[in-house]
Amino acid sequence: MSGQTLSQPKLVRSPTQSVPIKLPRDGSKPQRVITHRYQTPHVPTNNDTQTSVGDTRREQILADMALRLRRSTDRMFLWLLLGQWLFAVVLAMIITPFDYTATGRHLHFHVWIAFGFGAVINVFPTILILTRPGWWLTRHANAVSQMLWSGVLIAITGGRVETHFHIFASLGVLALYRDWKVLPTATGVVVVDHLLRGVLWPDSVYGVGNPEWWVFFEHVAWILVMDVVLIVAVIRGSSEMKRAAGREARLERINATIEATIGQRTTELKESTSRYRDLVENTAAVAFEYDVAREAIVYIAPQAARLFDCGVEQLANQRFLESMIHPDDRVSLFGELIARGAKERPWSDPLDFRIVTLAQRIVHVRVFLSVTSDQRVRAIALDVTRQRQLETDLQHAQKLESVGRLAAGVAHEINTPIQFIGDSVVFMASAITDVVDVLEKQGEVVKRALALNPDDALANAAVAAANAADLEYIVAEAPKAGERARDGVDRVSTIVRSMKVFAHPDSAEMEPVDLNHALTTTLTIARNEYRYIADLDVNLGELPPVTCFVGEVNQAILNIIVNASHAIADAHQVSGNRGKITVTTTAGDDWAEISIRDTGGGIPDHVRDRVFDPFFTTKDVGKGTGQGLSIARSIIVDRHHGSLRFETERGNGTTFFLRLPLDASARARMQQEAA
Amino acid sequence: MKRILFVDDDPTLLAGLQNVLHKDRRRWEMTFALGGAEAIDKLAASNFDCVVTDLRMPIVDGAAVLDVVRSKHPETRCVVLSGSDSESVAGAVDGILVKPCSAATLRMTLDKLLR
Repeated sequence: MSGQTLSQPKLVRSPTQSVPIKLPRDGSKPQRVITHRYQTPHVPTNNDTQTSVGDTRREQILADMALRLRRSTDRMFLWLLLGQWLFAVVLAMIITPFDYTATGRHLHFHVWIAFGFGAVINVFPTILILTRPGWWLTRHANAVSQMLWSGVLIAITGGRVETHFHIFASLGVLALYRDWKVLPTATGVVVVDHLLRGVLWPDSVYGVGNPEWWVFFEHVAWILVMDVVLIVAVIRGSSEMKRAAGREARLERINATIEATIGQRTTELKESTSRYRDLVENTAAVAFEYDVAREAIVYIAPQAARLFDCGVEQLANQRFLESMIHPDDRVSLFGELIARGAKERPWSDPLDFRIVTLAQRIVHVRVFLSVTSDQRVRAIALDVTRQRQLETDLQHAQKLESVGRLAAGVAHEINTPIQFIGDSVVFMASAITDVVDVLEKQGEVVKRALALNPDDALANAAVAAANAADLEYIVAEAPKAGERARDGVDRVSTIVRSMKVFAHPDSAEMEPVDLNHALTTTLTIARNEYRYIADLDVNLGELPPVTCFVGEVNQAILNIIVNASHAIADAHQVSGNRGKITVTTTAGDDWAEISIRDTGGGIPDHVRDRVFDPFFTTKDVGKGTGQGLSIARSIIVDRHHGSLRFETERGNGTTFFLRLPLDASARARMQQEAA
Repeated sequence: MKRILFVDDDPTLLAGLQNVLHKDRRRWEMTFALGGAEAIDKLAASNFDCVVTDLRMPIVDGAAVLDVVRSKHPETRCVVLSGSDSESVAGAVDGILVKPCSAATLRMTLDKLLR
């Protein structure tokens, strides 16, 4: 037995520590590497070293268990040694308190042995127990001391055989250390004690002065039998402890694995939840869930607030959300929902309707629905206003194109009849002038004939015919009628020509045009819009040719003229006065501008930001589509890279300024290059 | 006296032209052909100083009439009187008039060409 470890042994508790630790020198057998019989259910990291890590951990646990066991046994021995000391002294004083000699009565030497020798054999183990509990030397010191106590008790009871049972009891108590090496130490002490005292003082061991020679061997033999039994028990107990340590190490690892797995799963779940939340709440599409049975919205994604121009907290208010639905769409939408609830139509068809936001924006919404088995409707709502606008623009462009083709066709067909109507009218007017001239001269002839012969029958008949036909009136009016007819034909010709120029159906490319001419033709076309409510004042400035899609520009001008006419009609409805539309053209270095001023009511402050919004209208239902100014803006700004702005004054009217670059195609190329 | 041939597929239009240009009967000898085929016949029969023709006509169109004029009567002046200003005219012509065209404009154009 060698003791190179002098430091205080330490309990090792860290389950993750894998560095080799110094075990208390308990003298147990060298550890064999034991391969685990079970397979680790889940190994988070480092699969290859897991077995050795597990073994190391088992050794740590085993060392901890052994150390705890030995420390507690050491503490027990502290009380046992002190108790035996007290017991021995009391026993000695009861059995043999005094010794009577010639000098008188003295304390019997057994009492001194119990007290003095007992103190001596207790001192060293007591110090070790108090200072180094669990150390290998401490328990060997306890073994020596405990076996000496057997000797002392046997001695003070006069070598009684019964007291020898103390030896067996002591060996049993020492076996509690589960270190078989303390048993040879203890046995050695007993054997030496029996041998020495059997020779020097047999009474104190065997109770007789001359024991049989074999009694020593009999005692030793019984002790050895006891040792064998105890050593077997200790080894079994140790391996049981080892197994327990293995189980604990395994449990620890399973726990760690479970905790790691739970941690990982929790992290994954959090990530997944946040990913889905991100997906649902950070896209433009608004997801929501509706409980059909409760007629309640169960969930609505917070970005709906942007759609409704409202606060997130208002989304919880279902009545509020329902009030957002456009009044014109409400009946049809609820009817559609009822039809789907009654399974007349499938839920999967998308629903289209409009909403009016808190900021009075009109938003077109398309909702995709699916219904769950527990009667919940899950839906995604998309803002499709932009697509609707593009569709409307496209429809409008297509309509414009077909109207243009139709107008060009009609104009072409009308041209020929207008040509000969015009020619015939001109001819008749001129003929009437000639005939009137002839008639006047013939009238003079009739007058002369009557002067010569008042009864000239033919002359009198001519006068009667002239009177009957009211020739005087014909002569005065017929030339005027001819003029009016010519004027009418001229006007029709102008309108037909304007229609052809305005419609301009074949404008795939921009081309340089006279904007003043385009403006004039458009004003002709639009005449019917303003002629009964306003006078037109046109001031055309010098303009260089403007390269543009002239058909579209005409459309933009027309839309603004129509808008101006409606504004005047609304404002002058009450007074009945005629309004005025002033159209002016001016040019700059690289732009041309048309300004159109009306004497309408002006644009109210709260709608100024939205007059160019698609579908926005202040007109009564059916009177406007809310597309006119939006289309004008799209044509001037998007297609021609110009600008469309307005100045307005409440009660005094509005002026729109359409500014076009002289070469929109060059502007577009420059912007593309810059981009 | 200058000789002018008017070509159109619409008899009413020709009658109108005849009426409106009646005042010019003393300085211009005017012939009216109903359609391209009749015009080509008249061109084969005699010479004209000027031809005024429509473009879009059934069977034989204005372009065919102009081709005949250019090939057989290179001295004859050509004027187009068309219903559409977007129709393209193949080859050179001396004037393009768009219906409806006033009598004054027509007379002025012919005056210039026949001076």
